[in-house]
Amino acid sequence: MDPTSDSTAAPPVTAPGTPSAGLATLSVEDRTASGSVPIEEREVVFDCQGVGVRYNGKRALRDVDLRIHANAVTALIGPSGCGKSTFIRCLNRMNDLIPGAAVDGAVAYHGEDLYDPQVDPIEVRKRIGMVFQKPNPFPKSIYDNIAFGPRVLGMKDQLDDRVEQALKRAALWDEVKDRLKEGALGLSGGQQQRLCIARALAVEPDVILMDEPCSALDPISTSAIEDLMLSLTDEYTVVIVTHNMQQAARVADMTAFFSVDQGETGARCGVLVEVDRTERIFTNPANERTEAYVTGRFG
Amino acid sequence: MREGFQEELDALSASVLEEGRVAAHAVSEATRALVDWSVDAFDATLAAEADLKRRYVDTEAHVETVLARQAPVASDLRTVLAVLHINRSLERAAHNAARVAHLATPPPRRALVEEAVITDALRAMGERGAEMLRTSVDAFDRRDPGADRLLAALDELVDRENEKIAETILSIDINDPELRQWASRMLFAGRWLERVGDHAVNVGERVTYMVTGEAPIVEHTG
Amino acid sequence: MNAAGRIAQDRAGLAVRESLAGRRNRSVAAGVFLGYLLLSTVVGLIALGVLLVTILQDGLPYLDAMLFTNSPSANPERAGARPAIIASILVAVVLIATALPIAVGTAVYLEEFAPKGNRLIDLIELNIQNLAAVPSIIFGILGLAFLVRGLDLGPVLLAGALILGLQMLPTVIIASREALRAVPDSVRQGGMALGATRWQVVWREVLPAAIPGIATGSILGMSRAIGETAPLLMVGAATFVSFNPGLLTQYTVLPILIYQWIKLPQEMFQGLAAAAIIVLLVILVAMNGFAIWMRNRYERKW
Repeated sequence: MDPTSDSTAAPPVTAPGTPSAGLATLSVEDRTASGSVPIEEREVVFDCQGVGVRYNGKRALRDVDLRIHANAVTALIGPSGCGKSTFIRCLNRMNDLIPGAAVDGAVAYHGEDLYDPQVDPIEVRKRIGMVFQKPNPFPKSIYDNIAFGPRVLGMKDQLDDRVEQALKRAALWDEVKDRLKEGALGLSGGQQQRLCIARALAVEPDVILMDEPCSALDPISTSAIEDLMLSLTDEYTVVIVTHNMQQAARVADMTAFFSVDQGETGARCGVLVEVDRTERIFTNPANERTEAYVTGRFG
Repeated sequence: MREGFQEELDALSASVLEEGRVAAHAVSEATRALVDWSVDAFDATLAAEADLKRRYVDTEAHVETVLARQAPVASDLRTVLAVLHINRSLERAAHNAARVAHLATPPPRRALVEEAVITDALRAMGERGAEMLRTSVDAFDRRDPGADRLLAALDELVDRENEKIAETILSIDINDPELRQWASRMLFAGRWLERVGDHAVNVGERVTYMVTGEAPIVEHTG
Repeated sequence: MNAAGRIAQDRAGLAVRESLAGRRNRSVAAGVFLGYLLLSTVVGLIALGVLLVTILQDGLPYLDAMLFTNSPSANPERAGARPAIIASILVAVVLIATALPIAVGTAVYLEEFAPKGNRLIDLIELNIQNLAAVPSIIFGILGLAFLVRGLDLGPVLLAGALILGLQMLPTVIIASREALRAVPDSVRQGGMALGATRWQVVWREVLPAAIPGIATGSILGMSRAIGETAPLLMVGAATFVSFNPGLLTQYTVLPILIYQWIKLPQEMFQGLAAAAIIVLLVILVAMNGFAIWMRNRYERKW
């Protein structure tokens, strides 16, 4: 009848130098290795200070102070209209493409101001890849989809290798290796989304942004993408916007909760409420609004 | 939002309160059986223990359902986990009460000072234990963040009575076998009653965890 | 099931039956409307059928090799449509070489690059819409004033073809813009997110994806131009051309030749005209058919 008897189990034995099992997913050793450095002490990839966005003068997001650390999954959660998608598009300057969108505040990427006039947004998007809500493969072959990025960026050497590596990294190779020349639109939704991830990986980015990547997918495809996200953190920094709180709980190391504020003029505007380790957000969030949201009591 | 879920959480909380009442009743009756040799109290203790066992099984099944279907997080998760633990602690407390009731024997010499001291200490421990159980579920009901300290302070008093029993037993005549046998039974009774206090402290710690989310919990065995 | 349960079940069944029956009233009105629609369609089909039967009756006896090999002649026994057929083909070639690239370029600019909400752009868009509604004879007058006289090209095939091209522009621009707009924005975003420039995205992804739609619109525009008569009369398409036309020579095209033959008193020319109409119809149906085939073949579900 001793409730403590189980909690004194010996720590898991990890033999250094043991070859990994060679699975597509990350081995235990790898996870614990990347987990050995506390996330807050890992390199800061994005340092956002007072970031806000206006659309045609109307404020959609304000005063976001957020640090995004390397080799981790950071999830952005919050209700509709909280500005989480708007925010993630600040990180690779996709907001530039929206007429009337204006970003204020400072986004430092590895210490460099992302919005410096000297910075070429094309270069930014090359290093910071993005995957969208709905799988958006190009209407051409699987191969050409992956090869698009390297081709437009002039990375044309060993194109076949690049395509193969990207597809392997995205855990799609085995499923498509015999039909690379077939149309990408013939793939299932989940495969299309992994293709889009592979397409982003093919240009050798540093960061992968994902804007609700699983919202159009069934649960099995969703878990395939989630496994993929986790395995990507050994090389990449992943930022994901999700409506699905359980997904954030499953995959994210850090979770940032955005919400909607009524401004002085009554206009609705997105704000960052709280950012913390995911386990903390889902067991004991510091902010009442976060608590209300994650427990489903948000009005 | 999530009204059905809130109703389930309320139902879980209500069953914890009810279990606390039953457990406290079991301890009171067990104490009466032990020191007043009441057969009615003995029967009442076993009935309460059986009742609590049924409630324990039901509550655990309910917790399982809520976890599976509602996937609670944050304060909801802590509430459900606290209910799961408290459920166990209260069931153990009632089980200890039953053990105590089974140890009931009239003291062989009837008039001895040591007998009276031991009996009084056991009565005090039992009453205190029942009170602690009531206090702990009351703290659960009030969502009292200081529940752990409150119950730890009460437990000090129980422990002190228990020490008094041990000391008194050392001073009795070891050449009196009947007295010795009675004393050893009372020593065990004191031990089980002391455990009741520990279970109440566990409940208090779970309440504090549930309210604050702060995890440092020193489990009391028992 | 006990008796009470069975009664409840029957009662519920009855209620469902009644509520389902209630829909029949509405379906009567729907039936009347459907009948009206069918009737309208049948009227159109009958008119087309009568026309086709008449033409075939009149023209088939004259549809022979001579129609394709011989030049027009005052003698109906020897008259053919060769120069007109060649001219019509030449016109099509000129349209493909001039109007098509301009129209597609305009569409790509307006759809992919033009700043949104710019007044000048809005004006251009408005004018393209209006141009599509201008009567073809007006284009003829423009051609006469600007190409034939202004640029002193004279009444040559090139002038006629250019004016047909001008007339075709708005149709093809609008069709091409529709085709470009049908390419979802996600394709553009996907490309841009990979670090491609807007130009690369348009050239490598958007335009290829829109080609079937653009081609369909272009063929439909061209088939209209091939069947056109009025503006060519204005820019001086000759009615009697017995030599094979070139770009800078006098010319006639099939519709004008048909128009000419029908005006002649000899009955044989009526038959020849009908035969030429059959040729023109076959060309137009083939072009439209090809456009429809293209659309179905390459139609994409996004």
